[in-house]
Amino acid sequence: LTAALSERTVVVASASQTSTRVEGEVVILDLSGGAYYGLNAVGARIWELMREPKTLRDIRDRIVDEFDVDPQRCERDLVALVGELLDRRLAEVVGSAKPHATSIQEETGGTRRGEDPAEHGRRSSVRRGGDRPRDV
Amino acid sequence: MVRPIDRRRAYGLSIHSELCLPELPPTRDPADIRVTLGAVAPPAAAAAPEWEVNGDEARGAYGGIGRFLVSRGREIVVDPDPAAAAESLQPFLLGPALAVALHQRGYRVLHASAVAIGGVAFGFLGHAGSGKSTLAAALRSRGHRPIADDVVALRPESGGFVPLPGLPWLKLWPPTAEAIGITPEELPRVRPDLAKRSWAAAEPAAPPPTRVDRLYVLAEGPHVASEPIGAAESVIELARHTYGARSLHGVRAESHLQEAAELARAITLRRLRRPWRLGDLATAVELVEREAAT
Repeated sequence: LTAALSERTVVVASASQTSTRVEGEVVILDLSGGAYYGLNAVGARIWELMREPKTLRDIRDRIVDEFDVDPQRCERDLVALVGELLDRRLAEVVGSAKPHATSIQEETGGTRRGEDPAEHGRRSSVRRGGDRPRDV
Repeated sequence: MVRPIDRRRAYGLSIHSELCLPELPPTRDPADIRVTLGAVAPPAAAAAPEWEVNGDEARGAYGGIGRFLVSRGREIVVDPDPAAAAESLQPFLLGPALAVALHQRGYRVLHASAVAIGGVAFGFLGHAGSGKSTLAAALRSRGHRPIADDVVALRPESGGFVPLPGLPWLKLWPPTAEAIGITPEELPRVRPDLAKRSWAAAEPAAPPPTRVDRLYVLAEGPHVASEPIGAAESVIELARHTYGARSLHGVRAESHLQEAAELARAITLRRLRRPWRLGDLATAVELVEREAAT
């Protein structure tokens, strides 16, 4: 699924979730499955931008503008995060914008070697908070 | 038919009940909640053992105990199973049925225990068996005042949350009682068919605390330690440990999440890890006391 994402892909938060913001972080509740997910500050900003349909390029440009992050790293993290949100049906692809069709990963060389995957995960990944429990 | 009415107090509310509630302190205040005996239609089979919510009404059934209908946080109708003893009925009335009523009144109801340390409330969140009551009992044996056990109700008030004094007893398994120096045989059983004991509280000397300083989420760990919990995770923990998270809030999941976020903004959460054994209880209690003093 992630492989199909390009910088022209238009994504938006899905309708079957509700979310709230606390101290710069975001909690998403999947209304169909009942699971909770947490997003850190950068993830929270991406999520906010995804409330309206946007291309990955638009989101990337805004994040690079607002945060002190390396553009290539930002793209990789963005693709990973959006991929996870799509996998969990918290977001959906609603189309593709017109211009040049390069994959966002190809554009940046697509290399992930030499990166610390743990750090990558900390930056913007979706943390699953578990299901709502059964009552006693 | 006219039945005698027992007037008792719990969670700051006056409860006028056709069922005797002798362990609760008496009150002369007008009724906030009326408990009556009557016929209650069974909830849909799919709801059991959870509560079936229909507008401002909730219906619950417990096999061999009875059915409960709780409305608008003001009325509880109890339909006892013919086989149920009165002593068996009471824990369900004052446990889940009252918790549903507190929820309907707009209180934030958590699966937790709470204790006052130095005039401020500290709570313990966790799943069944994680040691909520154990920690509350151990703190009580050190002279701190218990506020509530199992069901902690918080009343929203001017931006904060006031912890309401719950049922005046703690429920303990015999080994826990022994670990804090109490002979379990000297305490009455919670229910005739349960080894768990009820440790009644003495009449409190000081007024109850008016704010919650901190909630600890209980978890297992190799040794006793506490750590901060991030904002998003705090919301998730509060949402998960809300009483009736699925049955009562399932129909309004959106506001449930917002309410958990509101709580997380007002109250600090920390994770308290300890090994699942009673030997380290004293260390955990010392840690909570030390953190309460800072």
